[in-house]
Amino acid sequence: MTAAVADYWREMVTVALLGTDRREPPTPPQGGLTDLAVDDPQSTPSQRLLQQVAGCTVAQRAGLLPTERAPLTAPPDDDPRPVTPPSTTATWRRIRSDWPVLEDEWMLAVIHSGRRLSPELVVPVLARHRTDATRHARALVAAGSLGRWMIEWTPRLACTARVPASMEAIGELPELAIVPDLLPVLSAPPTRAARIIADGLASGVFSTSHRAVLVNLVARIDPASLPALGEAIGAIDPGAPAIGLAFALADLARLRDRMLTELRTRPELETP
Amino acid sequence: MSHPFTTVMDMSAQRWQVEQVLALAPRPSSVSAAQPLAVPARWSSTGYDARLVWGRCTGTSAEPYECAVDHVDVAFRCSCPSRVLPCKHALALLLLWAQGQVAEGQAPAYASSWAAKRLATSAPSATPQPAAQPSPQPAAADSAPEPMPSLPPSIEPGKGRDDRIARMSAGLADLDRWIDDRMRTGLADPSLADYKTWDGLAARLIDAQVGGLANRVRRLAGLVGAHPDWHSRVLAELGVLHLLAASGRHLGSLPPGLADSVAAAIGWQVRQADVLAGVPETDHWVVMGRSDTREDRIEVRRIWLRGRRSGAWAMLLSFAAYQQSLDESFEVGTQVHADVFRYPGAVALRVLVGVRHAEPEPAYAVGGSSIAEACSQIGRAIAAEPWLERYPVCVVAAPTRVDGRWMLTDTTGSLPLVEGSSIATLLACTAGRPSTITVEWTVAGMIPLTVQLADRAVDIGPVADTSFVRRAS
Repeated sequence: MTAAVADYWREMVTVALLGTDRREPPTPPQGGLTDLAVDDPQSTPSQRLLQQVAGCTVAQRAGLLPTERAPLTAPPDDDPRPVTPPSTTATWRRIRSDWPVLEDEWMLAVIHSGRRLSPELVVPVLARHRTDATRHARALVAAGSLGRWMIEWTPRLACTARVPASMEAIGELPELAIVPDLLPVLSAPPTRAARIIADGLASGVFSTSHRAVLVNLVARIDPASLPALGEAIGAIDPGAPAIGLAFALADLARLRDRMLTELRTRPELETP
Repeated sequence: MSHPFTTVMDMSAQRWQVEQVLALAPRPSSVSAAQPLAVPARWSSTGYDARLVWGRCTGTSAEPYECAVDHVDVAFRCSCPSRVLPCKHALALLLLWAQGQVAEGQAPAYASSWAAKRLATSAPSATPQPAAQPSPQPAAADSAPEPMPSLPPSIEPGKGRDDRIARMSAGLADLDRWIDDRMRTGLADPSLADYKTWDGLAARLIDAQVGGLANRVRRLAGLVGAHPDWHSRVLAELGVLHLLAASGRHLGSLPPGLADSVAAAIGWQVRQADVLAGVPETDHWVVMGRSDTREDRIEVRRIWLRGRRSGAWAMLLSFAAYQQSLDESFEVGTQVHADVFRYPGAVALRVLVGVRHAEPEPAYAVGGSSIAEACSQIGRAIAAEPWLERYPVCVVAAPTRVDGRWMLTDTTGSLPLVEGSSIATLLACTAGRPSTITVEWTVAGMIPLTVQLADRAVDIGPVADTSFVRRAS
């Protein structure tokens, strides 16, 4: 917009604020707007103002020009770690919405796999854990230099917890509550562990009131048991009383298995 | 391609769109009341045929309400005690039908006898009469009698069409008079800060069946007081509304493409069948971006496609009322070999997808232009359709911060970004380096939609409120 048109627009805004009953519209600057007023004369001040407002608005929008080039921001330090594969983004979103009990293990698996978070996950992960010092610190390790750089530019992503995280807690998978009777299942051979849980669900020993403890059990069971567990639970009679719970646990087992499989392959072994 | 005037009233063979149903609501609260009822669980014995939609709705009374709608001549019948026409049951039934949740069938006696009686008498009162008819606006002392809009010569006037054109003409005149009054009395008038002022105008425009303008008025109401510079923005939008109101009354004298654009902008609907009867554009259509926005009481999804061979942009629209689903069949970062059919218009962005020749596949090597070239593309589109509110461009640029505002910049210049949560993800995905980014131009600035990474595209466009829409199963 030229200075003359910018001044003209400001004058029109002033007249529009006061109303044409109180002040006459300004005279357009030489050029297309004057031609418009001459070609299509309007009878009242308000109509003249409207015509000029419409013409000026369209001219400004159609004549969109960029402002001058701006200096680029300094990028974050290089992080040599490869990013997590695209499928992990979808897996993290599923975990967040359906099985948050897996979040800690997922983040540790990312770190142990030698990868860094895919960039589209950095913002939602840091934002999600900003009130939890341990999880936020873990997310920063996974996000690497990009995470620190993002906090510089977007302070709302910084941790708001007052108590700092301990180094031990950052590297450890938190314990979940599991009743002592079921603790042996955690270390049982895969098929045995799967059978105990599936039989318990089929026979009615486990019901929906045991949901929380069974979710914790499946979230911490030896990963080698997960394929067998998904299969055994999937074979339960659909008429079993706890079939809804069985479906949910099978879903959790499959998701955990997928999450660990996606992050198991060492990046250096992947084909480009 | 036939002109919208020739097609809009003949909807007998066509299921309505959600936006058409919502445009019938006599007041905004009718839509709010209808939405919870627009679920199959509340209905039994539903069906539709070439003229009627019918069903029984479980309400507060012991007996379900029997509801029928004539979707050809647009009339309603419901056994509920409401005196509002159309009642919430009729709107809900139409919403259900528009969403494809009503099966074709044979009309029951209560519906067919009502329709037969209406056809026999051909009563003029069969056309919808909104319960809250607005009082006529006092005409400005110096305003001349309003001429009827000029009709393109291809139109064969029928009574329904004549009625609609008369209503439309009155609505456009009312709008222009209202804007003129605002210019006379000034934008500092405190009544502009009251949403009812705008809502009343929008309701009158809906009654006049120019729903497209009603939507613009409601969006404009949201600008009042929203920004220190709001007077300037509101004035500019009033100028565009004036342009549309004036153009809408002179459709017959406009070039065909421009007339189609004006007609679409003020709210004329073109039948899908007419669009699909046009000449298809076959290409590998890259899904460049997705943008969800809430417009009044519906969620609108824009999917931006770009032809790999032609480089032309196209836009797919889908709508969802409360607890309904948006189209999720186009994933950003993929491409589809398909025929698309354009709605008429000067820029003609909106399309329908016809035959898909192959399954979607990942789209690689998407090219972007410079910031200066993007400005030219946007300028050309606005020159052709001055009331455009959104236009997509794909640029190779970097996000950067200048004087407290995020911009997209390259060696040819900078453009401002609209502040919002997607800027953080844009920054993370680009790490501040030049990248291929699809953005949507709006008057307020650029909205980032997609960032192209080395191996895939990341969808960062505005997302619909998940408490309002349901994910497609």
